[in-house]
Amino acid sequence: MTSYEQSTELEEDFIDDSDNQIILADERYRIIGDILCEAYEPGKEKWTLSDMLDKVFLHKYLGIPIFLVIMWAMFHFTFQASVVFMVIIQNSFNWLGDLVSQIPIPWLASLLSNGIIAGVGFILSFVPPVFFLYLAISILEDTGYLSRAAFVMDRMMVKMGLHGRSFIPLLLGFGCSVAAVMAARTVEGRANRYTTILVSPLMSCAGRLPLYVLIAGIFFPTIAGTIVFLMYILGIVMAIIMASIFKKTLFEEETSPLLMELSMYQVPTLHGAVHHMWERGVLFLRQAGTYLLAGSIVIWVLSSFGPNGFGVPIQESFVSIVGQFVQPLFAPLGFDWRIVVALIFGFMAKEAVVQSLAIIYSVQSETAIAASLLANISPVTALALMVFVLLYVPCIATIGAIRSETDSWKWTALTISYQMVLAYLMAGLVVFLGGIFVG
Amino acid sequence: MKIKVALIGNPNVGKSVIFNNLTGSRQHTGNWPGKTVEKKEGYYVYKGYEFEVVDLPGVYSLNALSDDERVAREYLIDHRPDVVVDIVNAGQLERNLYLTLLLIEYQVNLVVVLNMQDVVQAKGDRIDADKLSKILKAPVVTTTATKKKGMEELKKTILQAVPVEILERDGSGAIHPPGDGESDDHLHYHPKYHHHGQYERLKPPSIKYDTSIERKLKIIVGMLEEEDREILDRFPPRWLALRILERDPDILSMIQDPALKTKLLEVVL
Amino acid sequence: MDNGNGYRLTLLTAIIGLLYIVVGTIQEILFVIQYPVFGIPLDPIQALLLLVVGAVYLTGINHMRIKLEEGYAFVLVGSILAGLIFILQIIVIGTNALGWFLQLEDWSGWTIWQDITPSIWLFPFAMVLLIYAKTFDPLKTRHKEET
Repeated sequence: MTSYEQSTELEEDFIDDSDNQIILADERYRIIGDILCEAYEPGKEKWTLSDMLDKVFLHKYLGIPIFLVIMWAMFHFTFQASVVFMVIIQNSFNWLGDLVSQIPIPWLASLLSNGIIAGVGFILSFVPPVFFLYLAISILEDTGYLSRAAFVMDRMMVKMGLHGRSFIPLLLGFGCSVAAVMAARTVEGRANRYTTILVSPLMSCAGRLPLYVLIAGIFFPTIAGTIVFLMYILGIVMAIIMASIFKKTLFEEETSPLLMELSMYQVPTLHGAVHHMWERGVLFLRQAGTYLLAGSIVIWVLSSFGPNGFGVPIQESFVSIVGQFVQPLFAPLGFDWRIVVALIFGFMAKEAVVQSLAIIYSVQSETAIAASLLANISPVTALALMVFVLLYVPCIATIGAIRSETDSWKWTALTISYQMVLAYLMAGLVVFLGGIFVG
Repeated sequence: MKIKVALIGNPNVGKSVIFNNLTGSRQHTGNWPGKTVEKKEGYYVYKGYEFEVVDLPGVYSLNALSDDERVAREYLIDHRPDVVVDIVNAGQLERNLYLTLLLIEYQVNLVVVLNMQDVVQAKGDRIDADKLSKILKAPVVTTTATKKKGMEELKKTILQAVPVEILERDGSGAIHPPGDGESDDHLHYHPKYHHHGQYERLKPPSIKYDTSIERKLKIIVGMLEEEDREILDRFPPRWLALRILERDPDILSMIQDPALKTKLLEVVL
Repeated sequence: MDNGNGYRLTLLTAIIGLLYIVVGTIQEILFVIQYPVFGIPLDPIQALLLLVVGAVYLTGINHMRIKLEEGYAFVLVGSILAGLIFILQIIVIGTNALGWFLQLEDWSGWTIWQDITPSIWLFPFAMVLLIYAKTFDPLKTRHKEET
């Protein structure tokens, strides 16, 4: 422990003395230059297939549109390919729920059907999109395109005063914000690293995917894949904007353009892609099996019990009391108390937002979440909710990672508070614009 | 007694393919202790000698910034493999040689593999492997792993790179007599930190940096010799001095004496 | 050796590019006036994708004038993107067909005609034109030129 403290104590010095590192790196590259001079003779310029592809994928104007097309294709695929499987899983859990609700002990039947099956079972139905998204990401990564994407984004990001290398950790954020925060270590320079950490929770992680899929599927069924895609894009855009704001206000440091190696394009192997997908998918399953299960029991208890004991109407339950208390804050956004409660639980893990909504609606009226949502909120509010969930406070695990990576509560608090404000403003903007256009 | 071989290289250089070619099905995977980094180990027998191959994670450098880099670095330092095989993407020599230079700092028995030779030939580039070998003072093998070309040659070269005293040892007796650190004979690895339980004869660094840098390195080693022999026994001294110059937090945190640390940090380039 | 082959490819690339641009534009217009036509559903984002694919092809024309090989790259990537959105739509049809086959509630009214989008019918058309030009694989042509 003492050694750790010592090293942080010295941190100031490291930053000042990074010159040594640069001198040594320069020296090594000088030697490499000498070696290449003696032992290497470049051939005549020849076009390889990789060069050809890079000519287009890294094109000055077409690069970003092509990136967007590929991203859209990825999310469209994720949503469309999984929707059948989701319905199949949901149907099986509905069947199971009906079965256990026959149990003669009322509280046990309710716990199993309204708590665990409505909550965890519902979350499990989002396993197909999570698997398909990871399949798509790992295929893109294996082909070598993902590093091109970072390169293409670099041009834009340097213009905004950001380091292009930051984009790679940010892409990891599509999987899990914790991974993104940790990967920010590989970003050079303190200012760049801290900005990357601060904005990485804005990237849509797999935990937020269930809510997007749910809401988009219910309210915008024909363009659901596109809506999900737009949420991810919004995450990237907000991350870039916030990063450039932080970079200009909090730090004073020059950015250097990205120097990165673009390896040759490769045909992805099925084995590699499936392996990645499986690894990440299992992580999601493990979360569902552990603390989302525990969470579903807690939520069920809070929504089935009130000050007057078990079986009270939902309006008199503990969740309702908490929800009603906080709800006025969110009234301008059109969120009712159930959504507010779900958002509070979402602080534990973003998956819990959908999970708590499912449980609360299930305890309340035994109706499916889709029908209840359609009846209770407008499409504009639904959109605002998606935006809010995208941007609001990072989950507890991410906060822990930010705390340990920045080694400061100040930065952690800053992340939480700016995200809260940003989420509120952006969701408000959605409601405002929706009010104008929809009338 | 198995001969320990470590494979290292940048990401996407065909390291896994070479690993599979060498070991075939005789491998098992797991995780590095306490890390989410995959650990692959395998075995093969060549000319009656048994080789244990470890596939280190693909890295660009060894700064211990990421988990991958930390795993690779700790393995090289704490386990002192008998031979380190540096797999280089021959098509991107400039970027890949950076890691090679870093490995030379570790003073290990290095074998350099120029992989993806087919790509180089397709591009029409020419790499003079003999000259490269002379400069790096390490054997250089050219391979095209995807077509299994050059694998026998690689096995032969690895065997040749193993120091004779390790080949001849039968588990008993000292490999080296305990060294005293005099002259250029880098006999510094103290037995209690070495997996052999013996002194290791460090390979002299085949590439030295600019004299102004080397002078600073000597100053740092000198300071440590006077005040912290303990840490000198654990690491190759020149490597240690380089890490101190680079302000490596892991290494600096091991130096207990604050006065010494301040003195060391005053040495700048 | 910048022969008739190159000229034909340029022409066909121009046709494909314009086709994607025109259909994309029509789809945008139909979306604005909210008037669906068979084979062109109301989807502004899909329309944008068609425009991007068309733009990639057309940029290729510009490059072909300077150096034929550079132009191939754009034709290749344009075709990769067109193929990507084509295959995705096929997958969509496949999963919808699965839902319909299993007689799930949400798919009871599904017919294959709803899922016919421009990305489906434009791609085979583009491929036929390119195969006709016989210069689709640039590596093959280069071999021919070398020997």
